[in-house]
Formats: sequence, C-alpha cells, structure tokens
Amino acid sequence: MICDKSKLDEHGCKGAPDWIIEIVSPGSRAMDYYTKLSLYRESGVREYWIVDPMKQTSLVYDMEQAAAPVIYSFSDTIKENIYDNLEINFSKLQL
Amino acid sequence: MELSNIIYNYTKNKKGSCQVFIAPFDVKLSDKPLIIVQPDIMVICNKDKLDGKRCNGAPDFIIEIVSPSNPADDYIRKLYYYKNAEVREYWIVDPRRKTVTVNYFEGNIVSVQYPFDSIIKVNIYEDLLINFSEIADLLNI
Repeated sequence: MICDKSKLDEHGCKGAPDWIIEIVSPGSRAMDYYTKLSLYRESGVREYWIVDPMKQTSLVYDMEQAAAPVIYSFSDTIKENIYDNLEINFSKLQL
Repeated sequence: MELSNIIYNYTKNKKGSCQVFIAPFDVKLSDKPLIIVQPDIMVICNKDKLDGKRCNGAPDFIIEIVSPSNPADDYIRKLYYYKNAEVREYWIVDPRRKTVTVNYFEGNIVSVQYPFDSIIKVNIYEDLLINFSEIADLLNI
C-alpha cells in the first residue's frame, strides 16, 4: 500500500511503500523473514506483515512503534496500525 | 548476569568444546562488508574461531537483551546478520515486553515467542532448559 502518489511513475514505485504484506512460500521463506524484513526497515516501510500459510501464522512488524513482531494465528483478527479502523479477520480468508 | 551463569555452568559441566562469552567481546561476522558486533551473551563451540582478541565467524548461540533505545537493532538488523552469518540459534530477550523470541535457524523455528514465566529449551543442546520465571526479576532493566 502506497500513500504518497509522488512515488509512483509508469515503471512502479520509487521509495518505500507504507505497508507491505508478503505471503510466504517455501522458496521465499528466508527472503521474507530476514532479508526483506531488514531491507524494508532500512528503506522506511511503516508496517510489514509476513503471512505464512504453512505455519498458519502472521507476523506483524509495526516499524514505527515496537519493532518487535506480534504473532497472530489464522483464526485471529488483526488490526492494521497505520489506519485507525482497519481490521482483517483471517478466519474469513482462504489462504 | 544470571542468564549467562546458567549457560556457563551447563557448558562447564558438559566439558565440551563450547565456551560462553559476554559483552563486551567482539565478533567479526564478515570481512566484506566488515561486520563486527558485540552480542550480550554468546556460546562459541569452535575454538579455531577464537584468536585471543575476538571471535572470527559466527557464534553457535547468541542472546541479545533488547535495549529500550533501539529495539529494531535486535529484532530486525541483527536477526538478518545472524541468519546470514549462520549463527545456529538466536534469542531476543525483551525485558519491557517480558518476552523471549526464539529463532533456531537450522530447525526452521522463526520468531517463536514465550512469556517470561516459561521454561525454554535451548535448541542447540539436548538438555538445557532455562526457567525464566526464576530469573525474570533479574532481567528488568
């Protein structure tokens, strides 16, 4: 999710999105959990979710606040931190 | 510190090759780019990595106590460093949140969190359990 339109051009987004969700696949595990986490933090992404269908968990990193991840199961409703009132009920999703 | 004492006593009784070090002790994780860190607590089992001044290469087990000023350093930057350098196990002890976040890279255990009243197994050892309820009070900083 990108809130600053000036980051967008015809090729894509130049700069950090505000919120990124990665869906983990077996081949992307290390990239999603470690490499991209570090990269997103350094580039100024505000919130990063790692959704892992194999583990049935979502790790939520609120980069602006705690930095410590909060772990949710797929039966939880997760509150998004950038918006005041966006909640996602994972039990209703098919992942 | 109590936590390092528990691990020290365990490795001493075991009479193996593993040694416990605490900060300040330099660890050079890589040459290019040059990455030198000072973990709070570490276990190093390969004596060839020790040159009398520092550890050259990855420790087997690292524990960081989260500093209130920069939690992202332990949770994000060092997690990435330690995973890449092939540290086998990495614990993040957070006195403010009262949690221990366990990463056991070779066992595919990623960011499993325990509250401070837990008994937590050190994965690189068969039989080292750490009862945090006994030491949690000493970890408050």
